[in-house]
Amino acid sequence: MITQQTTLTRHPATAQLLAQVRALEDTVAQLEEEKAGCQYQIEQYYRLLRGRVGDLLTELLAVQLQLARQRAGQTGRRSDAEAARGWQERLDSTNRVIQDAIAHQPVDLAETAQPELKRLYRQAVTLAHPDRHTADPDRMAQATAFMMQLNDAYQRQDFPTVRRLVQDLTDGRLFLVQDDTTYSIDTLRQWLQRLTDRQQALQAEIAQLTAESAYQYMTNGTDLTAHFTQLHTALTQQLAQLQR
Amino acid sequence: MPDQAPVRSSALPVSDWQQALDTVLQTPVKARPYSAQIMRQSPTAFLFLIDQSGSMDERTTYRGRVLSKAAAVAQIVNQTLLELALRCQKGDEVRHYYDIALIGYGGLNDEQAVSLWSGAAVGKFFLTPAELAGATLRVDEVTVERNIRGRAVTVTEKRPVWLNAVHNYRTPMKSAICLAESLVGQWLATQQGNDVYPPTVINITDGVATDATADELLACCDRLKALRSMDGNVLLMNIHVSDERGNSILFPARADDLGTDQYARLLYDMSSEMPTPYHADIASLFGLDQRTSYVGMCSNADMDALVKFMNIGTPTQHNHSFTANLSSEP
Repeated sequence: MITQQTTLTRHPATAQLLAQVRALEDTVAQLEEEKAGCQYQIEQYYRLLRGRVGDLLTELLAVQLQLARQRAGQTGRRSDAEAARGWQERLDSTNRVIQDAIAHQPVDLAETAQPELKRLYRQAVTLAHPDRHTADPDRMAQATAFMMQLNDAYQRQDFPTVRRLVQDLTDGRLFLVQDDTTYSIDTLRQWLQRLTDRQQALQAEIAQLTAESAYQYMTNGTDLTAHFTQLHTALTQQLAQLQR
Repeated sequence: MPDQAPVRSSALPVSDWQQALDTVLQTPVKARPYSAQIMRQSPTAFLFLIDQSGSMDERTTYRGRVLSKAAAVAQIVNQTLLELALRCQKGDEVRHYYDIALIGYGGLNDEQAVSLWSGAAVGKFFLTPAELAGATLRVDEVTVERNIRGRAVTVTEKRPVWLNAVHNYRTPMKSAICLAESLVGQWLATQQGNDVYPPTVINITDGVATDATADELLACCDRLKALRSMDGNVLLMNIHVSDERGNSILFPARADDLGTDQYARLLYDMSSEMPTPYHADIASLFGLDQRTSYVGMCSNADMDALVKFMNIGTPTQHNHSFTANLSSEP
């Protein structure tokens, strides 16, 4: 009888910690969702960029690279060779960003489905976040793979896939989500610390993403048609100058 | 081809040392360069190129005193030379672990770099550590406070002076680099293909060359850096000392670290990439992040940076990589 009472009654400190963990998990899930939203906006910008000026931009970078290589060959200077490598990296990274953006083409989604998509995403992040499973490496690897699938689907606004993933998770088809009432005080403290760290990391990542000009153009009311027209004109002029 | 006629500093006729140098340059660099032991049988060489142009009279601060850049540089170089000599002292013997050249440019004229050794060594280019004692301009006596067993004691110390504070004329830096090229070439030839630690050239300047365009200067530096022993290429380190108003750039990893400063970019291209064994000392002495490459240059450096720079380029207590290579023979 006494034993039964002990297992059923949770220590007040444990209960308090668990409440803190759950609150912080909600916050982290919100931040994950916010970060994914920022990434979506940035990728959306690059998708538009590719459509409007992608070929021109690639051509300009290729010409810059060619000129930088010529110069490096003529002078033999270390700094010029580095500049040529820099242009190569810029060209490669621009191509990569554009290719990534194309690979994550969003699905047309009714505006009314947006809140439900966000809710499902947060629910999945709370249950499957890899930080929750640090004690079990296998489970953590499964959770990481799951999060990648989830983020990919969320950024494409792929509602059916997000719903299926969440359903699989809650049904235990992917992996069993451990019951958090069985955790010890030490484990809960460590978990809380990991969540706090993750919260700070996410806040920093979001600050970085929102500072990106691509994000700013997409969210600060910039007239994108005018913006891309202006960019097209500037790039055309620059290209003509370089080819002279 | 060098822009000036080879300087006779060795006993070998010019055609012989040129042939010997060609042989040295045909020997491939070994798999683990900059690892040769510095011993009496296989010494290394240090060449100090000192800008003595008119602008070196500008004021700077060193050890809390305001003095000319020329005076501060002279103090630091004299101290380095003394330390180099002391590192070779084993009992009463001063061992021949390296040859040392001290070259000035601008102090005597607008065109030509010259050897600065005086006394019995006038006209010589390389001195052994033992010969340094006979090549001083004078020996100063300075009163300093030392902490001995917890008590402050005033003592008089002797400070040999090889380099005077001189600041005249313009900046014939190309002449100094070409002279270094010629001297290093001859020095390598006399080593007869031995596995010797490559010579180190440290150029201390406060301005741009007045005897060459940037491209001409770079061509000289490239020729100098192409010289090598089987232990690796000659190291050319350049430091631009300033009046402490600009941003210091120390051992950069990439030209992008230098911003748009064209002079800093020139120094960057002139200087050697520092070999891996130096990296830990550079990071530790200058408080830099561990990187995969460091170029041996400092731009807008103050005098404290110059002291550290000299510590990286020469075997001092602070330089663990050099100290490890220096012979521990009894």
